[in-house]
Amino acid sequence: MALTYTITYTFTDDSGDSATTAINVPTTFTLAQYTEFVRGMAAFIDDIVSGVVSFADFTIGVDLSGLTANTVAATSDVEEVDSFKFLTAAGRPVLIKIPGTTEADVVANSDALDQVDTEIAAFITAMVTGVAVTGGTISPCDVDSESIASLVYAREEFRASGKRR
Amino acid sequence: MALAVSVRFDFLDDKGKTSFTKLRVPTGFSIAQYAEFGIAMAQFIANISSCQVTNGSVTFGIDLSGLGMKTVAGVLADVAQKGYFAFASAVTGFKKRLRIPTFDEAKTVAGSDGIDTVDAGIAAFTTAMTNGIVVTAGTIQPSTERGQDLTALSDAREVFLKHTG
Repeated sequence: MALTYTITYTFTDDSGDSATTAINVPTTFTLAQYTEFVRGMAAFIDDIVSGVVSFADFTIGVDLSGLTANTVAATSDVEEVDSFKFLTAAGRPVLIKIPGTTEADVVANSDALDQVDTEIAAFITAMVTGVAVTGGTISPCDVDSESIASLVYAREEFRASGKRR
Repeated sequence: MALAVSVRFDFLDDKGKTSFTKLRVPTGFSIAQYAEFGIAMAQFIANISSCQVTNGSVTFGIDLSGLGMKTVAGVLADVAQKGYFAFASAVTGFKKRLRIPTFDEAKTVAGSDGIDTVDAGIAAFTTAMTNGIVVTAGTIQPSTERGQDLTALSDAREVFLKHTG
């Protein structure tokens, strides 16, 4: 269980550079109450800075302790990704890349992900039709909150490795 | 239309490399519902990834419009110039430290790097950090990352971080 939630304020100076600071708050309030707090604290902070408080984000952690089969497999690589392209009803693309392709999920002699595979199919269904939660269904969408309507492709892709430091 | 809520998952492969993916969901649900979605989607993703899902978070952008805050940075604003604040908590040894970018130098004590804690703006901010902010049906009090209430300001001074532009 998350110990606290985090509020991140982003600041911009007159050179256009940005930086952040974070404040922690307890986990027992509603989203509306946190919104009030974030706005109230932003006003206090604005009074003591010379830059612009340009953004405020409120972040909650997701408790992953109950996940099953959530282990690091031998030969796993974050550069090897499951690449999914979805479309919203208005035809806007939504790209999702999941690091760590499971080779068994790739169709032989192809880079296509096996959409008949139970777990790949379950993920695609969750993205297109949503996930049932208590009292509703949350459906993934694009940045403008337009729901995903269909899958265009699901394939294996590779990213370049970063430089070693 | 409201901008979508961002859901992020972090991954670890067997070489120790990390990566992440993000998806969007609409606004309009409760924190509990988003948390439920996050856990369910993490499981769908863990089922198709050979990496381990190490972290999940849900981030809400908070609307700062209408607060009457600055919209243009002051000509002397620099993100590397910070107001450093340390707050003691209810548990000895656990502190909350934050550095606020673009700190207004007019709020330091003359001939010193100490922040003028008597200044009205500074006093209002530090009071909000230690006593909390009143919201509808409650008061939200900032805490340490481990959830201990902040009790008193223990240090406040101007600091600079390296910034090469």
